[in-house]
Amino acid sequence: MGKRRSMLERELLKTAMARTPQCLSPAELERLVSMPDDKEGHVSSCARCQAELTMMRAFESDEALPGEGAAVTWIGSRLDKRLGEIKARRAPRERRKESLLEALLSYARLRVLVPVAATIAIVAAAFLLRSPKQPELSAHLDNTPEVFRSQEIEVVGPSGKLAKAPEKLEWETVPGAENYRVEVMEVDETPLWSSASKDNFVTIPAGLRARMDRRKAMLWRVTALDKQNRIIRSSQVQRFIVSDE
Amino acid sequence: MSKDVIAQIGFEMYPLAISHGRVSSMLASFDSFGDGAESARQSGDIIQSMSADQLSDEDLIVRYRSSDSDDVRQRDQAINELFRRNYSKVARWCLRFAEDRETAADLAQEILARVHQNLDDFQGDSRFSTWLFTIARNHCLNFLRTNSRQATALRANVEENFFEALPDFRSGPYEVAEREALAQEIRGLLNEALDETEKTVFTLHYGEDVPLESITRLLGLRNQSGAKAYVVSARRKLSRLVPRWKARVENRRG
Repeated sequence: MGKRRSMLERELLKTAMARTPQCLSPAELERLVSMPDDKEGHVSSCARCQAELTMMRAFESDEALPGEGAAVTWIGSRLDKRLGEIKARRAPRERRKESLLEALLSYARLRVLVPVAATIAIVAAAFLLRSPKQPELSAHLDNTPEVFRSQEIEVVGPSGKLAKAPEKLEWETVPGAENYRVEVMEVDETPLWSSASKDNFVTIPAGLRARMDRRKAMLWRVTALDKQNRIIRSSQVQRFIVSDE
Repeated sequence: MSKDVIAQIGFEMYPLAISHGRVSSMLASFDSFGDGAESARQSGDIIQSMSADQLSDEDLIVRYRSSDSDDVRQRDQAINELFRRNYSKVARWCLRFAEDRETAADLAQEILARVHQNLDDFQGDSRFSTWLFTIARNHCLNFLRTNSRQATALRANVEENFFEALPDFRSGPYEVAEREALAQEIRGLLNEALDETEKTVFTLHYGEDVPLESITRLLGLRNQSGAKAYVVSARRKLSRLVPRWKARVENRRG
């Protein structure tokens, strides 16, 4: 009985706090985000709209909670690494166009692909049965070492929105690295400045720092090189902007 | 041609740029351009010629959409810049709802993928960041609702009784009207009794099923017990008002 009553209360509270026809849409609420004391008639008496407005302000706020900054930088860096993956999920509209095309082609494709797949399977099986030793696998088809995601340089900073121009660019040390090459670029990846370092940081020259003060987003990345000047690891491109917002 | 007609032509061609007034500052004087369609075309050209970091979020979407489909670099630059400048915002938001940074990163990635998939649906009725907020909000609240551990925490809270002998509005011929009338009464009661933070905590917890620890982070509450303290004080205030409220309801029913 007690549990049933609790459920009843819960349901009633949900109804009381649900959107009403008078509630403001997000587009209407956005006007109030930057006006802390200005509440329109309905908002001033609606707990729901006030909660929405509070959430919207929390989203728009650049203020990180204590201890949150490093996690925000890490997530930003991971999102950047996965940007290609994020964009690879095509728009439903594009998928719809393709699926129509696929439907039209599927019959013809099946007629061609089934015999081709069967032939490949027979040839592959025959080849594997005839060669007793494991095929040699080559990790590199040319002399350039490949950079894998798990082997990327972890960047310490800067990244994201900054209150003032950074004094140095810093990253985690890479075992076996003899030198690091650092590049700073415009957002369209036009090179602005580059430098080399034996340490896990470089100091940014005053001239470049002055350019950063103009509320202009910049990108940077670091590459680790071995004794023979070969690339062993690279970081993802980092983006930062000096903003007084 | 009147300015209204000119503005309409311009709006149809570049609705985002014009409705948000970013690049539209360049269109401020229709008279100097002499023709609205021409001025709108010029605004598109301006957007195309500016570097990505000089453009507003909305202008980047204009560039993304209006770039020739063969101009992959231009489209890529626009969308990359749009995403990069919002990484921190989305990351901070997701950290408020997740228990660890890996889960928050997954949530953030899903949100951006959803944004990318639905970018064609952005009409420019609001700022891009408001649209992004709506997607992020819904995604994270859905995550909380389907997350089993969070759901367990919520079930524990269901045992609370605020309104004691509440009439069962689910039985009887007037259940819908009765339920709505009661809901209306409760809205009035909450508004009367609770302060702004209590109302927000109460609404997020009981209306949206947001766990108290997430509300604490979301609202940036710095007191020791966070959102729980506000729920406790709200309950105390409500329990003082409920007898009066019930008497009022019963009086009305005769």
